[in-house]
Amino acid sequence: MAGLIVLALLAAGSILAPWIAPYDPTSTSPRAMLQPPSAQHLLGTDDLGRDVLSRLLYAGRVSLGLALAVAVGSVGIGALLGGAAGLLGGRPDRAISAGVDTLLAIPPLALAMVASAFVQLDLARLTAILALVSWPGVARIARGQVLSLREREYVEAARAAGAGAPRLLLRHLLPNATAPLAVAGTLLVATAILVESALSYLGFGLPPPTASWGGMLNEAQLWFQEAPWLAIFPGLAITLAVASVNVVGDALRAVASGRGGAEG
Amino acid sequence: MLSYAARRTLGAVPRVLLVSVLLFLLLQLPAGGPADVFAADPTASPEAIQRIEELWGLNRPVHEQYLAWLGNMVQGDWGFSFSQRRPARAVVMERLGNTLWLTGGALLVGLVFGVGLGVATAATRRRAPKAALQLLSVVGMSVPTFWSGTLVLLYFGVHLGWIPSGGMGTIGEAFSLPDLLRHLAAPAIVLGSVYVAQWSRFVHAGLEETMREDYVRTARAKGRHRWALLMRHAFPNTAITLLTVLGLELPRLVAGAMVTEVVFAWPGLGRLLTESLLGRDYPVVMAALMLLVLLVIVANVATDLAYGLLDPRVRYG
Amino acid sequence: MHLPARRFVFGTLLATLAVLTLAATPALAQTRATVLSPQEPATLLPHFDLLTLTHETQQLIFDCLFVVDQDGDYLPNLTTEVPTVQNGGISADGTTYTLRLRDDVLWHDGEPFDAEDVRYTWQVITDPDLPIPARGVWEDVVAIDTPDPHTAVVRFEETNVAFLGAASADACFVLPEHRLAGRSLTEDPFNRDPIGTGAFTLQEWQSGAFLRLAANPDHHGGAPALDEIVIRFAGSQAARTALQRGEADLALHIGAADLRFAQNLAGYEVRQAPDHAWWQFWINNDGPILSDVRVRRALAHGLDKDLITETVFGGVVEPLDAILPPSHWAHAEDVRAYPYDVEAAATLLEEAGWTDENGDSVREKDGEPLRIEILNIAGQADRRQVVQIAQDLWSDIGVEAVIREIDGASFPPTMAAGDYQLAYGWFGENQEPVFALWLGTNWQNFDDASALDLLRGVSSTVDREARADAIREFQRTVAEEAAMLPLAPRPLLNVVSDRLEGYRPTLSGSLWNAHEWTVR
Repeated sequence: MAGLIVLALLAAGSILAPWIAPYDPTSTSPRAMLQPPSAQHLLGTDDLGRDVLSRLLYAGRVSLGLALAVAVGSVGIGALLGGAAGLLGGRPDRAISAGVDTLLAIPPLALAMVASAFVQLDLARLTAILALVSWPGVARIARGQVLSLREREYVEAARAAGAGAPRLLLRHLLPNATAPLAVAGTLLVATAILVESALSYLGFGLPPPTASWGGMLNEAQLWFQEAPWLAIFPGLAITLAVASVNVVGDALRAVASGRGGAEG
Repeated sequence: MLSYAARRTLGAVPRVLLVSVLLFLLLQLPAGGPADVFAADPTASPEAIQRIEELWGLNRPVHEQYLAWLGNMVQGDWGFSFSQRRPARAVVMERLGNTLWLTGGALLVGLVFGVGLGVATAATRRRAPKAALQLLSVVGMSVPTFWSGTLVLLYFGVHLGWIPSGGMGTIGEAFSLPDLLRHLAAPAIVLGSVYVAQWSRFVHAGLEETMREDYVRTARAKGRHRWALLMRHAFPNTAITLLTVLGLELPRLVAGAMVTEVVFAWPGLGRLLTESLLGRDYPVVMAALMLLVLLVIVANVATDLAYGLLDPRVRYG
Repeated sequence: MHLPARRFVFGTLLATLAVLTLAATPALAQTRATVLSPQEPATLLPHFDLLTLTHETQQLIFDCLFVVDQDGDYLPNLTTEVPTVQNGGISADGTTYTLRLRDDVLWHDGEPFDAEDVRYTWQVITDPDLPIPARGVWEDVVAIDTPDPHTAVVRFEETNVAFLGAASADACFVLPEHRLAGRSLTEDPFNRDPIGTGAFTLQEWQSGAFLRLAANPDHHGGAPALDEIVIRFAGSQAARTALQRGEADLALHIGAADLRFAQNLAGYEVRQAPDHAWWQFWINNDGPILSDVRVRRALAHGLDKDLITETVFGGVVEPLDAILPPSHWAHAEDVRAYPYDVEAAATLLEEAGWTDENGDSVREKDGEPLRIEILNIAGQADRRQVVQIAQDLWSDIGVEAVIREIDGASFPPTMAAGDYQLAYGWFGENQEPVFALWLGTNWQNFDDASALDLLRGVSSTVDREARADAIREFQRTVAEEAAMLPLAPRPLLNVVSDRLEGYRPTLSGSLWNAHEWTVR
């Protein structure tokens, strides 16, 4: 429950950012740089005089929104491809599984980094890159689910009634695998937040002046002696976001596997 | 066992080939394709550019280019670093050992403390430690390592001066094991903390579950000690599953090492990848990426082999 | 515990303590100076890399023919005397320099230095097939004769007044002919394993970490007092950390952002090194957007230089309008200035056809947005600040500025390839200008032939006033055309430890006399 509340608060903050942020996150006021938290700037200002709280809220939009889009995209692609592999078997299965295994061998951050460096990065492209890096995990789960479900009676019945593979997959098999896929998707949101922040921290995220939690941490490093607070808030935001998503995901998993449980 | 090992090792070869295809396709992303990537060195003399074009067959059709590239890689020619003016393979190889130290250290920390905490909380019957573990592990898994690492480095290293402020050894001093370990401690702990969080939880849950099994409860009723039951029955099963989890986590561990290396200025492969990407030294980028992937695949094979050793059932599957 | 037992335990503890203390006492360490550098050289082979910090490092390993002392006078280094008209070293018409070389100079591999090395160096610098960024005065040399191993006669077609200056700073290091002749210079291992005639030899180069050099006992200027010099590569944060922990004896080229921090450090002093350098935005005059002078002028009007100098540079310097800093004798006071004026900028852009059709506060023309990329070197706090402030200021006039950061070593080649629109960085000029920026690299693709000819004539004009006039005229032309966007003079700030003795920076560099340094 606590996890859900925290998550809701963070999401609300991000969505309502344009209305509740006290300042414009990208407008610089160099004369007001590196001010500690005060009544005027609740979380202080950064090295260009930008209000940290406003940047944090807007960065949340980027990080959370992106993560959600990535999760949805990955689950979509992964479920379809993995499910198809499980259902069709034979060559399509081998081909898709080979692709999945290959992608799983590459550290996702490394692949995302190299891809980001080779293209002109914007929000859409970054989402695509991260989704492409994340779908294999989902595909594996989907495939396993479909494999265990496809011998069920209702599937046989549907097949006898003349349903083709796409219909089987979309109408009968995948809907019954919603639980594990939903859990996977939720956890994927957490991973996506972490990967995107890491990418921004390393310098391969969205170009300035777009704020992102990882990017803010990257900038904060240069000023640690003068403005240590700059390094604390972005990381805290990431941790809270990821933790609350993880807790919610755990609760979902507990519900899905039928154990009930009052966590989160 | 031997045939199992052989099958597993040979089975890795197609994966490596597929990865090489993927990496080669990645090279096609920049506007000029591999030409952009390998020949775009503005400091190159006309002779160097010509050499590159001959070597990589940049004027031939794509599949021929791939075979030429693959042939070169296999023979050990991984390109020439633009910024360091020497073969990319040399650049990459000298960093490999450093990354192994870091990932090894983190694994050790993760296993020792992760398993230790998991076992300890499973062995007790009191609620408080278990709740504490749950909380700590959620937090531990959610804290981004670049944040915890930066704070640890800046506070304990820069502010207090208790730990070295980065790097793998004291500058200019000859190599010494204590010096290395002193520099390794903080990054290994930071990187390993994520796994302590994950595995302590996993081990605890696995042990608890086995302890609930009928045969264990019977033995308990008969008066056997919790601890003895834990170690004799619960632990071996959990250990094997832990191994599987470990195998799945390897790519993530390597990726995590990358970030930790940057934070602590550890001269490893991950940091090399970041630097060479920023410096547009593409031959080194591809070489580093290839080596990282090979590392993961080798580790996977090793895990499979270990799994085979521990669980005889697998070998005949 | 029984008394004897207690004594035994006590004794053992005492002995252990003694052993540990002895073990902890460091062995007699070599005397070493640690120097911090924000950028790492791409190569140690001279002439291929324009970074000043590469030059500083190379000073330890290589020698120039002359050096400049603190008063601006030339001193012989590889020669026995400084050529003048009086001693016959310079011909009366100023076209021939006769260099009498020392006969006691050895390369690090033991081979003797001779006139062939001087001629070979000239050939390398002027070789059209080699990607040398700045050839400078050497291109005007028509021949170098070597009548005997210790005499080199440098011949120019016309009177040349800039040779001594060029041979004592920047592109002046002499290369070993016996080692490099006939080799591929871009790929030879010499890049990482150089041999020079300098006071130090390279022992170890750990990429991304440090360079370690050891004293050369056979150095012609006397064996160094130091045993070792270590050059550590450290960006802003790492440099501050090292200084705070007292781990460095000298920190080179600290950013303006680090000035306040450095001034408050105990045991260190911030010293300005003599230099004629300035911060600027390079403009690639060749691109589709920036080839229009109105756009360039608009960018100049849209930049609030005072804001930047007051905040990022802490008010230490004043805005600059000319492309030579006020510290230089040929600085022009009366060039066209572009005061911060958003309306003037807007008018110019409208005139040039850039209007905001769709209300997204970015101007367009023929469907293309006014999007300009700013190239910047990563890792230094003040560079990033300036570029982001500029980005914000220019967005106020409808320009969508995009920032691209790369590392220091990639900067010169990227610029040379013209792979940029705007780039932020600094440049320096010699006491006797060689105009490497315009006649050498010309990264800005400035193609006003008559203006450039004016510059070319400068090094053969003997009269100082006439030279000054020509240089000032050039500055006025550049400002009129807004071909470059100067920002402010760049003070070359080094942080020196109280322990370091002998540090005397000149126009030749900061490390030119490292063989005279000692560290307490």
